[in-house]
Amino acid sequence: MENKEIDHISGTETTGHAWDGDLKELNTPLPKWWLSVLWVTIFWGIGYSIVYPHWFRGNEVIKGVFDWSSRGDVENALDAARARLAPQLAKLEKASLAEIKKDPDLSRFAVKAGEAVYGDNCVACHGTGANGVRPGSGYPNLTDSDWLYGGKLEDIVETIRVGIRSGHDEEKTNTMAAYGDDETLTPEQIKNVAGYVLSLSGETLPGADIKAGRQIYMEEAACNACHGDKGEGGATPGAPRLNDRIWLFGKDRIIDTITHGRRGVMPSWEKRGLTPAQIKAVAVYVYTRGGGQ
Amino acid sequence: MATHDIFEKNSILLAIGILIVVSIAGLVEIVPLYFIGSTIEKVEGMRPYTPLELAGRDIYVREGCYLCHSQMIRPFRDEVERYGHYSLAAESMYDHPFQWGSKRTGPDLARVGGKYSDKWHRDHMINPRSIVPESVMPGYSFLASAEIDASRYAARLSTLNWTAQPNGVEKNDTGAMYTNAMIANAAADLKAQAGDPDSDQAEALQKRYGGKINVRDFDGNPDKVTELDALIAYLQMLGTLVDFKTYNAKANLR
Amino acid sequence: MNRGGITTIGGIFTALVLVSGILLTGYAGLNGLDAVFSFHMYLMAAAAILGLLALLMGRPYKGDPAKYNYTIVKAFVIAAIFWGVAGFVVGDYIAWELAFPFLNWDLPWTNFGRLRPLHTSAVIFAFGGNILLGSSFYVAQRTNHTRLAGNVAPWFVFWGYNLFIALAGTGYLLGVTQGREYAEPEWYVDLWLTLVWVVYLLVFMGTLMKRRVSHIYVANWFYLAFIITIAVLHLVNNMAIPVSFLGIKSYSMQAGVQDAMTQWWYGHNAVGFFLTAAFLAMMYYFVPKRAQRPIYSYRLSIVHFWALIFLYMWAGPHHLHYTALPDWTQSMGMVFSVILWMPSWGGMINGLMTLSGAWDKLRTDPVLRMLVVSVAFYGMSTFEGPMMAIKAVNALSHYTDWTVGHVHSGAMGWVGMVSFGVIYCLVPWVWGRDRMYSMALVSWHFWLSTIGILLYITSMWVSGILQGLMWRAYDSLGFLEYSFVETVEAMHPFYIIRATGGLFFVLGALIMVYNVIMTVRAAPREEAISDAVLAPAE
Ligand code: HEC
Ligand code: HEC
Ligand code: HEC
Ligand code: HEM
Ligand code: HEM
Ligand SMILES: [Ca+2]
Ligand SMILES: [Ca+2]
Ligand SMILES: [Cu+2]
Repeated sequence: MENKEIDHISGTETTGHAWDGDLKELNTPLPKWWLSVLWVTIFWGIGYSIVYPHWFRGNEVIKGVFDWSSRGDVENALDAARARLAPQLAKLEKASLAEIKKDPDLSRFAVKAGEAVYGDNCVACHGTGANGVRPGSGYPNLTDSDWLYGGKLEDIVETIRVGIRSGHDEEKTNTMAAYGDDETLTPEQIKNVAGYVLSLSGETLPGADIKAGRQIYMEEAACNACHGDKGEGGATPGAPRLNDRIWLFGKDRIIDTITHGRRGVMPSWEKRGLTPAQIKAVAVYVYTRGGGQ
Repeated sequence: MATHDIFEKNSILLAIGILIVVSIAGLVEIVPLYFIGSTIEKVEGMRPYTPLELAGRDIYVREGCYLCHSQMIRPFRDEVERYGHYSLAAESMYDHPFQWGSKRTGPDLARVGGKYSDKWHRDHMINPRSIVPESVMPGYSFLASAEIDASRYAARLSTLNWTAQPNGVEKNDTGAMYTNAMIANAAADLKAQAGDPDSDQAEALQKRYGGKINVRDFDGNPDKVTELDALIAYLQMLGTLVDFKTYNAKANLR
Repeated sequence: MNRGGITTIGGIFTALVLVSGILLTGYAGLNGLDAVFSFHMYLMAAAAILGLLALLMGRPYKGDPAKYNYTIVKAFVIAAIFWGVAGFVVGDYIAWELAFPFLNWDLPWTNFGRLRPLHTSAVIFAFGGNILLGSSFYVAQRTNHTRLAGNVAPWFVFWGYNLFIALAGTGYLLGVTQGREYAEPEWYVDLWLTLVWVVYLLVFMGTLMKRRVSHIYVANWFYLAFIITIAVLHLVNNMAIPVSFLGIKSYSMQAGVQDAMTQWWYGHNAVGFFLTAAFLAMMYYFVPKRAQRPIYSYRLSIVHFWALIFLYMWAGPHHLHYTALPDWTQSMGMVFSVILWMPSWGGMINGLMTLSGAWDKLRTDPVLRMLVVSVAFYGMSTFEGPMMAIKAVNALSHYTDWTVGHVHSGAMGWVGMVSFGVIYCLVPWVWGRDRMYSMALVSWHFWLSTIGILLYITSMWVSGILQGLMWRAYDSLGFLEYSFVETVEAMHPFYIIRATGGLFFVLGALIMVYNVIMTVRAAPREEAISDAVLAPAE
C-alpha cells in the first residue's frame, strides 16, 4: 500500500499515500527558520512568564520577579502626574481672577486644564466650545452674556461646584411653578401672559390679549417677582431674562413652560468628584469663552 | 512520523486526542478564577440590582449597547482621568452576563451614573443628535412608549438566585443574591422606584437594598413605568456603588 | 448500507423525534410568555411538520450506494451563497449607519445594536457555517472514498442548521439575545444547535469510520477538531438558566470576571476553530486539488495541527488585556498568542508552498488566485493577531477600529476569499459542469473583493490608530488633548471609505451569484454522471 515516490518538480519524496486520486503529500522536513522562530517564541514565553505574574500556586498568584502589576503601574503614573501638576494647581486654586489674568502662564494653564475637564464632562450638555446645544433645548449657552446664576468668575465656580437642582446640599434652585398643571391660570390666561412675555422682546403671539397678559404678569400671578417688572430677569437668581430674544427653553415652547413649569438640572461637579482646582479651571475656561462678567 | 499513524488510522483515537488537547487551557485559565482569593477585590457598597435597574440592564443587553460602549475602565492614566477610577472585578460580580464590551464607538459607561441629569438621558436616548450633534448613536425613541410588565420580575430575581454565586456575594436567607422579601416585593419595588421618592414602598425598597438607591420618575412621564424609566435608572447607578474612600488600592494589586 | 426514508431505523428514529418535537414546540408555542417565543416555537413546529412530511413522502434512496452524495453538498453551497450575500449587505448597511446615523431610523429592528449581531452571525455562522458543513461533507466523501454516512441525518443537519440560523437571525431583529458576542442566540436556540451539532458529529465520524482508505487525510483532522471543539465551547459558554421554559429570557450561569473569561475563551476559539481550523481544512483539500500539486509538508501538517489546536485554546485572555481580569491570566493569554504565531503560519506555508512548481497557474486561473490571496491574508492576520496580543500594543488597539480592521483582514480576506474559491471549485464539480460559466466574471469578483478589502482594512487601520492615539494624547502642560466626541467626529471620513469598500465586496458577491446561476443552468458535462462514482481506494 505504501507507495513512496519522488515528486519530480521538488525532488522530494512523498509519503506514499494518495487520496481522491491525485491528492498526495510530500515528506518535506520542517522548515528550519520556522522551527527556530517557534523555539524562540517558546523560550521568550518562558522568560516572560517568570518576569511577569503568570502562574499560581494553590490559591496564591505568583508575582513576577519585578513585582510588576498593571494597577501598580497606573497608580505610579497617576502619582507622578499629580506631583508634576500640583504646584500650578495649588496656585490656581488660590488665585483671583485678576491674578490669573496678570499671569499669562497661569491663565494658559487654567484654560488648558479647563478645556480638558470641559471636553469630557460638559460638552454633552453645553456643546463643543461651550456655545450650547440647539437653542431652546434647555441647556444654556455659556458664551453669551445671559446668566441665570451670575456671570462673575466666583458665581460660575459656585454654580459648577454645587450645581442647579442637583441634589447637592447647597444646590442652587428657584422654582418656576406649573401654572397650568396646578390650575393657577386657565389656558386662556396662559396664552395671554405668554403673548405679553413675547411682546417684551418685540414679538407677537396671534390671538393673545397683551393687556390682560400684562395684568396677570404684574399682579395676578406676579411673574415680575422673579422675572422683574420689565422682564429684565435677575429679580431672584435663576429666573431668566424675558425681554431679550434668547430662550433657554425655546420661543415656541413658552406656553408649555408656563403650563408645566421648568426644572432644569445641572449636576454638581463637586459631588461628581472634580477637585476644587479642576472646578476653578473649567470656570476660567467657560469665563474666557466670552460672556464672562 | 510513523507514531502519528495511530491517529491517522483510528478516528476514535483522533477524536479523543483532540478532545484532551483542547480541554487543558480552559481548565487552567477559568477554574482558578473561582478559588484564587485576590480575583475579586474586597470592597464596600456592592449590592444586587433592584428590579427596575435589572429591567434596565435587560434592555441594555437587548438593544446591544455593549457593541458600542464598554463598561471597563482600564488602568491607564488617560482612562482614569477621562472616566474615573479603573474598574474593579468586584464591580461586575452581579453581572449575568458581564458587559465589559469590546469596542468603544461611544464612550465608556462604567461610571456614567450621576454624571448627567435624567432629562439629559431622556433627550439623548430619544434623539442623540439633538443634544450631541457629532454623535453617531442610534435614537431609541421607542423605549419611551414601551411599558414594563412589572409582574415578570419576581421570576427574574429568583432565576438569578439559581446562578453560580460569585465569591463576595452576601449570603442571606436564600443563601444567594436576593432575599425572599426582595423576590416577593419585586413588582411593587419596580413600580415604586420609578415613582414618588417619599412613598412608603419607596422607603421599604431603600431599606431592602440598602441606602444608595435613586427613586424618582426617570422618564418624565409619572403615569407609566416605561422601558426608558428602567434604562435611565440603570444608567444612573452605573459605577456609583463601590465606596472608593474605603477601598485599599495597594492591597489589591494583582 | 443505509437506504433512507421512513423504512430505515434512522428514518423511524427521526420520525419519532420529529413527532415529539411537534408536540413540544406546539405546546410551548401555545403557552409562550412572549410573542417572539411563541413565534419561534411555531416556526420550529412548522419545520418539524415539513420534515415529517418529507420523510413520509420521500422515497428512500434507491440509487447506487457506490456514488457520492452530492445533492447535500449542492444544498449547502446554495445556502452559503444566499446567507453570504445577506450578511455582506447587512455588514455594509451598518457600516453606512456609522457614517450616517439617520439610517438607524429610530426603529428597534434597524438600529445598529440589533443589526450588528445579525451581520456577524450571518457571515460567520450562516455563510461560513454552510460552506464549512457543505465542504466537509464533500471532502469527507472524496478523501475517505465512501458515501456520506446516513441518508436522513445529513438532511437533518442541513435543515436543522439553517433553522438555527433563521431562529437566531429573526431573534436578533426582535431583541432576543444573550449579549455574548458570537454566542448571542438564547437558550432554546442554543439547545437546538446542540442537537444539530451532535448529529453533524455523528455523520462526520460515521463517514470517517466507514472509509475505504487506511489513513485519514489531513483536511479531516482539521474538520474533526473544529466539530469537537465547537461543541465543547458552545456547551460551556452557553450555560444559562432560563427564567421560564416558556419564555425567551435567560441569565448566564456565571458573572463578572469569570463570565468574561469564559466568553472570550469561547470568542477567541470561535475564531480559532470556526474561522481558522475549519477553513484550513478546506484549504488542505482545495488548494492541492486546484493546483494539482502534493501538499508541501506532511510533517508540518502534523506539528502545526496539534500545536495550533492546543495553543489556540489558551489565547482568549488577549481580548481582556488590562481589564479587571487578573494580570496572571492576561500574561498567559499574551504568551500563548505569541507562541501561536508559527503554528498558524504552518498552515500558510503548507498552503503557499504547495504551489511551488505551479505558480504559473495563477496567471490563468482566477480561482486559484483567490485561494492563494486568501492564504496570504491568513498569514497577514495571524501575524497581526499575535502582535495585537502583546499588551503594549493592545493598550492602543483595544476598543478601537484597529480590532475591526484586523477582524476583516481575517474575515473578508481569508474566510471570504477562501470560501469564494471553494465555491468556484465546487459548483462545477458537484453540478457536473466543465467550468464556471465565465472565468472573466470570476476575475472581476476577485478584483472587486480585493479592492474592497484593501479599502476596508486600510481605512480601519488609520482610524483605529488615530482613535487610540487621540484618546491618550496629552498636551504639553499635561492635560488630555481631545474630548471623546472629537474622536467620534474624526472617524467620519474613514467610516465612509470603509462602507465604500464594503460596497465593492457586495458587488463582487452579486457577480458570483450571477455566475453560479448561469453555470448551473448550463448543460451538464457528458461524463458528469460517471464522475460521481466513488473513487477507488488505493
Ligand atoms: C446634564 C447636563 C449638564 C452637564 C453635564 C453640565 N451642565 Fe451646566 N447646566 C446644565 C443646565 C440644564 C443648566 C441650566 C439649569 C437651569 O435650567 O437653571 C446649566 C447651567 C450651567 C451654568 C450656569 C449658567 C448660567 O446662566 O448661570 C454654568 C456656569 C454651567 N452650567 C457650567 C457647566 C460646566 C463647567 C460643566 C462641566 C463641568 C457643566 N455645566 C456640565 C446642564 C449641564
Ligand atoms: C419663583 C420664581 C418665578 C416665578 C414667580 C415665575 N418664574 Fe418663570 N422662571 C423661573 C425660573 C427659575 C426659570 C428657569 C427654570 C429653569 O431654568 O429650569 C423660569 C423660566 C421661565 C421662562 C422660560 C425662559 C426661557 O428662556 O425659555 C418663561 C417664559 C417664564 N419663566 C415665564 C414666567 C411667567 C409668565 C410667570 C408668571 C406666570 C413666571 N415665569 C413666574 C422663576 C419664576
Ligand atoms: C452606534 C453606536 C452606539 C450604540 C449602539 C449606542 N451608543 Fe451610546 N453613544 C454612542 C456615541 C458615539 C456616543 C458619544 C456621543 C454622544 O454623547 O452621543 C454615545 C454616548 C452615550 C452616552 C453618554 C456617555 C457619556 O459619558 O457622554 C450614554 C449614557 C449612552 N451613549 C448610552 C447608550 C445606551 C443605553 C445604548 C443602548 C440602548 C447606546 N448608548 C447605544 C454610540 C452608540
Ligand atoms: C461587505 C463586507 C463587510 C462589511 C461592509 C462589514 C462591515 C462590518 C461593520 C461595519 C462592523 C461593525 C464594526 C464596528 O462595530 O465598528 C462589522 C463587524 C464584524 N464583521 Fe463585518 N463586514 C463585512 C464582511 C464580513 C465578513 C465576510 C465577515 C466574516 C466572515 C465579517 C465578520 C465581522 C465580525 C466578526 C465583526 C465583529 C468585529 C468585532 O467585534 O470586533 N464581516 N463588520
Ligand atoms: C494567531 C492568530 C491570531 C491572534 C493571536 C489574534 C489575536 C487577536 C487580538 C489580540 C485581538 C484583539 C482583541 C481586543 O483587543 O479586543 C483579536 C480580535 C479578533 N480577531 Fe484575531 N487573532 C488571530 C487571528 C485571527 C484570524 C485568522 C481571524 C479571522 C478570521 C481573527 C478574528 C478576530 C476577531 C473576529 C476579533 C474580534 C473579536 C471581538 O472583539 O469581537 N483573528 N485577535
Ligand atoms: Ca415614568
Ligand atoms: Ca447563546
Ligand atoms: Cu482572539
